[in-house]
Amino acid sequence: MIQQICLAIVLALFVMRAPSAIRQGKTRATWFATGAGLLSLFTLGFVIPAGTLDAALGGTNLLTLLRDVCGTISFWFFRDALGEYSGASYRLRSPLFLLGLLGTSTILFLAIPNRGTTSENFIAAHISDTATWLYATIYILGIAALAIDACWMVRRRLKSVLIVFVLGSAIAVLGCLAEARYLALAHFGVGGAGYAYAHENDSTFPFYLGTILIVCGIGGVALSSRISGLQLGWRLTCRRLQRIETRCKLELGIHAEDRIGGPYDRPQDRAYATLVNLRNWEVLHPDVIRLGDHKVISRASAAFSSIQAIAAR
Amino acid sequence: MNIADAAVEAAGIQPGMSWSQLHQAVATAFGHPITIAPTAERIPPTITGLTLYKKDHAQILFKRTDDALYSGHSILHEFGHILLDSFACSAQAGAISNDLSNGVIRVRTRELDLDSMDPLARVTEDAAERIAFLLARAVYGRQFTPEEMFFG
Repeated sequence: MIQQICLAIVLALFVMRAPSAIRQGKTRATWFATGAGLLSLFTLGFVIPAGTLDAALGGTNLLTLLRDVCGTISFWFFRDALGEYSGASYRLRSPLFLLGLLGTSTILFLAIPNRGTTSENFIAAHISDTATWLYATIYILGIAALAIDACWMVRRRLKSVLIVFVLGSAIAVLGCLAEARYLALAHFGVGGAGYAYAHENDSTFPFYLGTILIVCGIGGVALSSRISGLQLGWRLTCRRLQRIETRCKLELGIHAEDRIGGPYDRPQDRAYATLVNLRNWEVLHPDVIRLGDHKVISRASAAFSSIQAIAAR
Repeated sequence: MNIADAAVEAAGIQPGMSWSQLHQAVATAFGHPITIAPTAERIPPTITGLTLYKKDHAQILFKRTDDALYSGHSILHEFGHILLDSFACSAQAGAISNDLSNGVIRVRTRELDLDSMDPLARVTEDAAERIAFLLARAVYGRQFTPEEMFFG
């Protein structure tokens, strides 16, 4: 269930952030991260059965490799975005690390003997093979290394959404460690097959909970950014100012000359132009603005006060 | 593209600029320093801001009694005149007090009494006002937080 929730959130986030990723280069790293994560989650077979997907890749469980490669890439881009955002120097930055990780995983995966036909529990079924154990362990510890690196580089800059990212990464790391433990138990037969089987799904909840937290952190920023972009407060202010403007126009008649440069897409720009227009009329016709309207005008004007930065008053 | 848009583009004005960056960009386009200060001198009531071009710099004056938005807009309008680098003046040095006109080569103003202007000065005035609105969009444009830039 938690995997389906994760898929739904990542899909929504990927679609919602597509326009800003196209427009603004800095948002692309996290968008790529959600894209790779989406692809990884897609291979779990909730939308199209995993068997069908794997059959399209030749029916030799390459779907497992694709899932893990996408997962690694996803965490790589997430870590990369965090590094860019925090301005921290980080050690595993070189793309060679990613290529080395993916290359090693791929070679080990291809070295697994008798991969057989499509299996939803491919790793568990082949865990006795050393290549399978090494492949799965390197993959999961690679993700853990990226998540730990992400936490480490922002450890002194913990604020706002970074706290959510660090918490999510830390929980995901716990999931990774639980998975690595299960892989070792199962491969080396510690405690018997039953004991290992009992721990097979230990990683699922923490890993996906951590991932969901990270994704929700990104989603929260993306959503609040879009809500503030609507400028709801400015829309209201604009409407009030335009009511004053309309009344003044009626009073001034042909003397109400507009000097508004437009058109304006943003309510704040429209409000600015209306305020300038009203002040122009006030200079030319001192009594045109009523006493009650001054309050609305002053309050709106106060938002445009950064001029003091350059003018010595 | 009209002359106002072209002048703004040529000066490299970008959305999200701070006032200081804008000031610097206009001064660079002008090629001389630009000082900005309020004035209590007698200037006609319909003039809300003016630029005094001197030998090696320009001085923008705005009315001390105007609020930040309106004086800011007057300054942006004067930036518009500077960017346009036009020779059509809406007011001559005689329209201002003697104290201000000392050493002044040329004057630009933000004049609200458009009916008194000759057609050429009116065109210049309108272009400078259009630039003022364009510059206002640049300095008052939406500022994205670092979080929005990376995760928004």
